[in-house]
Amino acid sequence: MTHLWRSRKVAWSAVIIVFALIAAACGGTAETTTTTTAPAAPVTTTTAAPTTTEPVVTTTTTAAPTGPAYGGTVVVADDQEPPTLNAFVPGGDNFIVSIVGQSYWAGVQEIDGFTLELIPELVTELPTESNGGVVVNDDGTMTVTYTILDEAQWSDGVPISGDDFQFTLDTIMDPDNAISTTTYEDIVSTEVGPKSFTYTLSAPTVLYEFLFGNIIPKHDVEGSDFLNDWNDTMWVSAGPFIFNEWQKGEFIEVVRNDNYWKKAENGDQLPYLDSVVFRFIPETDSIITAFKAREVDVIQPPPASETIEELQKLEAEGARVEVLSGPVWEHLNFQFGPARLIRNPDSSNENLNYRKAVAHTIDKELIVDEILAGQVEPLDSFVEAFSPTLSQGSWAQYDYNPEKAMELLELAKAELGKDSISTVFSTTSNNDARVKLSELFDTMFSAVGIVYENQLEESQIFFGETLENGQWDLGEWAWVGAPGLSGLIGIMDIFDPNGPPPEGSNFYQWGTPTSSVIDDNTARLAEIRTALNQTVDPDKLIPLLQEAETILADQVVIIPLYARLVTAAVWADTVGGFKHNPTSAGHTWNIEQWYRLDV
Amino acid sequence: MSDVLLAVDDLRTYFATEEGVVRAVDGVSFTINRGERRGVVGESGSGKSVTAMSIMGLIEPPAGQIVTGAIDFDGLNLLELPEDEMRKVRGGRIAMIFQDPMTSLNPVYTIGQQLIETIVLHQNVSKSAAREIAAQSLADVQIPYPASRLDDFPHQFSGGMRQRVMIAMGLSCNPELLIADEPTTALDVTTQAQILDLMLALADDRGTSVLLITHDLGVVAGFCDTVQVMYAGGIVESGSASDIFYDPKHPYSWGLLGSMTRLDAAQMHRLNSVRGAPPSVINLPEGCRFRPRCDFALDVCRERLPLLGPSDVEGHTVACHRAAELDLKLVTSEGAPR
Amino acid sequence: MFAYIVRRLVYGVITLFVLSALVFMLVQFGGGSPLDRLRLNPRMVNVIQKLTVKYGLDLPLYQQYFKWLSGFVSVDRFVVLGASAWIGFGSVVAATAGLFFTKVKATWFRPARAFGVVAIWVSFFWFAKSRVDFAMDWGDSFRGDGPVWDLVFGAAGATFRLGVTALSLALIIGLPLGVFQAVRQYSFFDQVGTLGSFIAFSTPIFIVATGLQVVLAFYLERWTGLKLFFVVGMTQVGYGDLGRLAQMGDIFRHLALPALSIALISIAGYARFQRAAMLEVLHSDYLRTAKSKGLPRRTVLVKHALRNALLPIVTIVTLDVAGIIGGAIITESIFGWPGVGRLYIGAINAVDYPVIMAIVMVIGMGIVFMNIVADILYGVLDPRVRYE
Repeated sequence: MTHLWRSRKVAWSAVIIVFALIAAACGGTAETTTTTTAPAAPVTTTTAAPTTTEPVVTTTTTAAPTGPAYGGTVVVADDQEPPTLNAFVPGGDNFIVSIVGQSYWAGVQEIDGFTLELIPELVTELPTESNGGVVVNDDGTMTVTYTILDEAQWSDGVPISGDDFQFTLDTIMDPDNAISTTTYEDIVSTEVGPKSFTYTLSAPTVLYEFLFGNIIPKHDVEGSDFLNDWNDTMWVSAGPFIFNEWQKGEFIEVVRNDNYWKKAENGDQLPYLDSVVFRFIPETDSIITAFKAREVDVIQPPPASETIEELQKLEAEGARVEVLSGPVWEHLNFQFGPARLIRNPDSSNENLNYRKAVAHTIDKELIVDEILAGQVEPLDSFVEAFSPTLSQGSWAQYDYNPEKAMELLELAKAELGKDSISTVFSTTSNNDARVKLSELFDTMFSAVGIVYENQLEESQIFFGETLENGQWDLGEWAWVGAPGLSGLIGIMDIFDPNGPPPEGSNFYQWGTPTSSVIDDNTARLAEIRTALNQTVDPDKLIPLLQEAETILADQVVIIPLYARLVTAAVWADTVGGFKHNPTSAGHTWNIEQWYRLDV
Repeated sequence: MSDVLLAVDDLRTYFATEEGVVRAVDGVSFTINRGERRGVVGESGSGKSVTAMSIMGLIEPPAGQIVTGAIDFDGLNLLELPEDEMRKVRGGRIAMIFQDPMTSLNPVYTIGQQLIETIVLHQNVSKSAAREIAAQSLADVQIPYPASRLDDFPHQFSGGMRQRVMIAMGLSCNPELLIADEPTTALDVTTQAQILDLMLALADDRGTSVLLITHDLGVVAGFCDTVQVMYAGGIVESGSASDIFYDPKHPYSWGLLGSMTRLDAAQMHRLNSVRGAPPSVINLPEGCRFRPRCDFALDVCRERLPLLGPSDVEGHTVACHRAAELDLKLVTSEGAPR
Repeated sequence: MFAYIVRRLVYGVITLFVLSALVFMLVQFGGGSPLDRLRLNPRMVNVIQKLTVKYGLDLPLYQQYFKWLSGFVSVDRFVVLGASAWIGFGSVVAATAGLFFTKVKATWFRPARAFGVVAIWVSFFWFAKSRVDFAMDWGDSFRGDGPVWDLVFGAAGATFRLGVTALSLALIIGLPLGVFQAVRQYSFFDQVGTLGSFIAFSTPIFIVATGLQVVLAFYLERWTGLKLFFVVGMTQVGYGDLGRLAQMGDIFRHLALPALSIALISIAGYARFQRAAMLEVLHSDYLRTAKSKGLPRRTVLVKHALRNALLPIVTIVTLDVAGIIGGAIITESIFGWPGVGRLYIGAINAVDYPVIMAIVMVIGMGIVFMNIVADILYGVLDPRVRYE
């Protein structure tokens, strides 16, 4: 038996060596952990407060009698996680990046959630021709001047200066960075002051309205590796909070910026909250369950009617659900380029009477009822979705009228010399609303005698090859609009006869060199677009924009359908100051005003 | 020493199956004396193995159940013994060797571990002493290098060697009764006799009684003192080996003998078999169970089940209505009187 | 045995190579490009051009593949911080050698030795993680997430925690369940267990997961006022400020539901399998021998029956280890768990080839590795198996 014992001894001693190693490794960790261990503090909002019998409904930012209390944490849930925190690198254009960024970024302008208009943020006022901030020079250039707020400063106490604006411009224009340089590339000269920044554009344009929306702190960022150093962390803050921690795959936490320069209207130092946590939950159902269980306070669920109804049931317990119509507008459109014949050799898109017939064929009310549960009205113009005051509702002329549609179709057949007219409809197959839409179209088109066929595609293919090559007949998707004149002018790019893809974004190829429709209307629109990009006077811009809208409606280049809903829900009995913002500003636009009612 | 070691009385072991109740052993009574070598012969399904398993207490309820009967082992009623008492008998005082040595040893333990386990269980010895005993018992069954082979796994042994191991394991605790259930059936013909010789010699040395279950009458003739023939759950004939071989009283025994090759036969005769197939033990025929296959059956055989009774030879019992009148010695298989 | 392992490793590498080419092609032909999300924005034209060059999307496919492959197999950084890692490595090699050159025939020592070797190496890697900075050059994510290596291994810890818990649960519950069912075959307990297994086996994992969320994380609190489990996340906010005990409690309260929802299907599977394996052994000749030796029932069942019935399970469980990651893909999304599965779904949605490829390859390597481990383990546990 001796050999047995001896060999076991060898084995055991080997095991003991290893345990010693593990113990050494563990010892190290234990030390570092104990230094950070603090007495357990009450954390977040997970324990539900006893529900009151009468629901507490907080409607606006109006402060409670004693004014909002300081402290506490609000948890915001989203189904996406930012790929990076840096808005100026690939992936930084993701919407969630700016939703989180609202807590620590600042720029020249922001979008007011109550009026949906542009308001100044870091500057005393938004420059316009009337207030002298914008000057069109005799040599045809245009100069814009920002006056930076005196109190505006970074979270480390350094004042925000014109140097930071210049640094931001330099970063955008750095050829090593993959950042969109549109409009910035037209800046010919700049002038930097301690509390001012002036730049001159080569030609007059209102696109200046959206420039410098996010300023980079020169003193913190200069000399760093811009592409690699700012993905997982953030530079000094100009907003109400400071980036604190990012647990990848879980949450980002931002904490109070004690040096925040902005005060509330009642003189309160902002922000009210100690911290905000952005929790990332990929599954929508889980977001809603987590909201119901009060693990999260603010959510932005998809606007499905079942979801909205489910959330509205919680209003009795203190939740508030805001359903708004957003700037994302769905539209039906025609392809005018040659590749449409690959999809449908019999395409009749070039015929105006056919297009008008289609406009009369579609029952938009029914579509809105079926897809949005009748929560909003259908669009009479795409402008309605993001600049309601500038809209003329030019598509109102095309009511739902199958008889009229059939008359127009007969005309079209005569003009084209065809016995029947067919269409092939394409859109993304992985969007429930659009699949539903394709079913509704099938009924509507067949009812007026159009030979109709659905050819839906995965969004990756539809938004890839199909759009790129103009390889569809009748299409449907959505665009995002931005408020202000610049937003409206910007969207005109998609109708620009001088801008075919891939460089331009006139995916419909209406009036482009290879288009089947090139006429006076397309020529006029090209003129209008050129004029729009060289004009800053609203009095001249607005008639031009209205003329463009009229042409687009009369020629039925597209048919606007409806604006997508943007919903948000908040536990209003515990979180105050929340106001949903359906625009690109996101629902966190006034995060500095949020406060907790239970602290 | 010729006192009775084991007495089985009216043992009935039934199994519940989906088709019905299987009366595997149906009223079996016999005794075994100390030092006796008893052979049990019969076709498959005649109840030989179930009888053995019943003695070992290995019939597992609820499927199998001993419905009546008594098994008296050296004054102990095995059927009423508490389980922990029964465990001492099982493997200690009664050992059993099974048919297929290839699958009867646990593949993941060494021979030594399996031997020592039994020895430690039944003998009050230390592990190292048990190892010595184990080595000795391997030596007894003539396995070369027994001490080192203790550390080998079953798959490192041939079939014959494994059966030797099984015998060593069975005899390592010096049992009073060794039940061997077809111990050589799965083996090579050339090793069969060796193994049996070895087993019986070792049993003799220890004064161990043997219950040798087999379907091979030749084996019984060569190695056993007494024989009982089983058919369809019951004993049909019992007596000394020579009586049964030279003077079978039951037509079934006679049939069985006719189906074996005998070198001692005076003239070559045609090999024949018992016609028909064994009856289903679920639906046993009325009267004598062998009747449907019997060449000598009369009406009385249909009416009553013959009981095991004495014959004209002392110690030779038979269960046949016509045992007295038939002289099967004179009957050749070609011409059976009706 | 050594030659056998080497041969299996070579086959494994070939398999992985073929797998990588196949997956690369599948991703390519799956349609879409990582830059599609930028295409509809008219301002992004110059960005798209720059990124196309940066990511090498303008190269022919085979060049893209070899560019990826050459990066995948090359080491990005390898830094040993201090000598302790080397000393540790030496000790581990010595300990392993010590265990392997020990000639002991006692059967239970064989699995113990295998377990010892695995434990030693796992603890060494755990230790080395803090002393060695190592990364492969798996490229950058096309989404701007940064280096793929960091992404995958940042998420691996969470998946590991979830997977190990789920697997332990499955083993601790599933195996005994199967054993008891087999021992009491056709009893009421057995019938209920069989029914339960079939229900658990045939319920889709997302229904199990959301069901657990709604019942145990939401309604349980509603009914009892007691917040026991969380719907989402791995830790609560402010976890670092909690005490040791509170931290452990927090981990448990987040881990329980996702682990259970992954484990449930494995519990059912293991129980069924273990029941079958156990029944086969219970009807075996050697078990009859064991009984006939007069061994106590416990010894018969545990030492003789279970030891044999566990053999086939070892293979199943070992191969399942890699499969657990697959089960985690859906569960992680539902529970907001920051693991590899969640990363994978995000990468697929964004057509992020480097991340998709890396995760598929890691899972592939896991499967190949666990296959070899299963074979070796089987040989260690079953003396009849020999490698040639």
